[in-house]
Amino acid sequence: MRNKTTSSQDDTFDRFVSRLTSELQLDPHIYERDTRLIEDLGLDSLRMLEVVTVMAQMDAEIPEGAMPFIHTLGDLHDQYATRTQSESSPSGTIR
Amino acid sequence: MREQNRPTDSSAPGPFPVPRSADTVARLTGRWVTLRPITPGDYEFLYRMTVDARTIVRWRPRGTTPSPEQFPQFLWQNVLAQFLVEQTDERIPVGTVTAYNADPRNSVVYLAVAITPEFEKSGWALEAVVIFIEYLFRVWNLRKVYIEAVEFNFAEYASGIGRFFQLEGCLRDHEYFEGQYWHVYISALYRENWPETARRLGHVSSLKI
Repeated sequence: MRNKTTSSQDDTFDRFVSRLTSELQLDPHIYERDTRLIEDLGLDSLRMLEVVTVMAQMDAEIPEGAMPFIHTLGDLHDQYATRTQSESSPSGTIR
Repeated sequence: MREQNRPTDSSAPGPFPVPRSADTVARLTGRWVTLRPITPGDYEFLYRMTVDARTIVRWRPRGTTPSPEQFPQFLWQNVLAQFLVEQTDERIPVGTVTAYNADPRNSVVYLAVAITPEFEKSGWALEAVVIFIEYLFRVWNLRKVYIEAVEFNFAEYASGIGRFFQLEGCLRDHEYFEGQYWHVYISALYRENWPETARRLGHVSSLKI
């Protein structure tokens, strides 16, 4: 179930997930903020390292101590939004 | 470098080629971890990690408890190269990476990694493995690096089959644990595929194929 977000936040999240899943070559699917990386997407340790790499390529390097607290796509998007906030356009769309 | 690409110089030492320089610095530091040589001062940490109840059946001892006196022999048995894995900023030891059972005739070696339970889900283990494999392929003319893993360990990186490594064998119902026999998988990383694999895992390879 999707968390309460504004439509522009939804749009940003959807664009973020679209790029992430494309880079990771994950199957097309409807992803939600509370989609869990391990339990729902089945990401193993190797896939998690790929996630970190893709995030870094998106200028959103995950800090060393943050990974244990990242469980869902929403958590990842929050990291992305925080890391790229200063570089985002006023409309909040991702680059 | 092929013979025809070697520089020619009239000052060559007699009939022999002109000596070339090379970048021989081993790159052993990544985003989170650094590999450094193991010293006797590390043995207590390594012994405790080896016999820790959470790792003892997952790593090389497979449930056995080498004596502290015999531990250095156990640690270095059939080892080609081995490093301590340290968290880079805090210099906290978190595990080891090991190349063992090298077969120079066939240019292959086996790889093992052990990370303390506190950090095994952190991604540090895989970064250490990436750095180590780069080192192995740069320093030795290896064709393949094998990883042999019981299925509950293999499940941690099985998503890489066909993308980063090839599954080359399976010993069915090979290893006993908790009332049942588990498969053992043997996978291989190929030298020619390594630069692209490293890139996709966030590491810039300097390996020359």
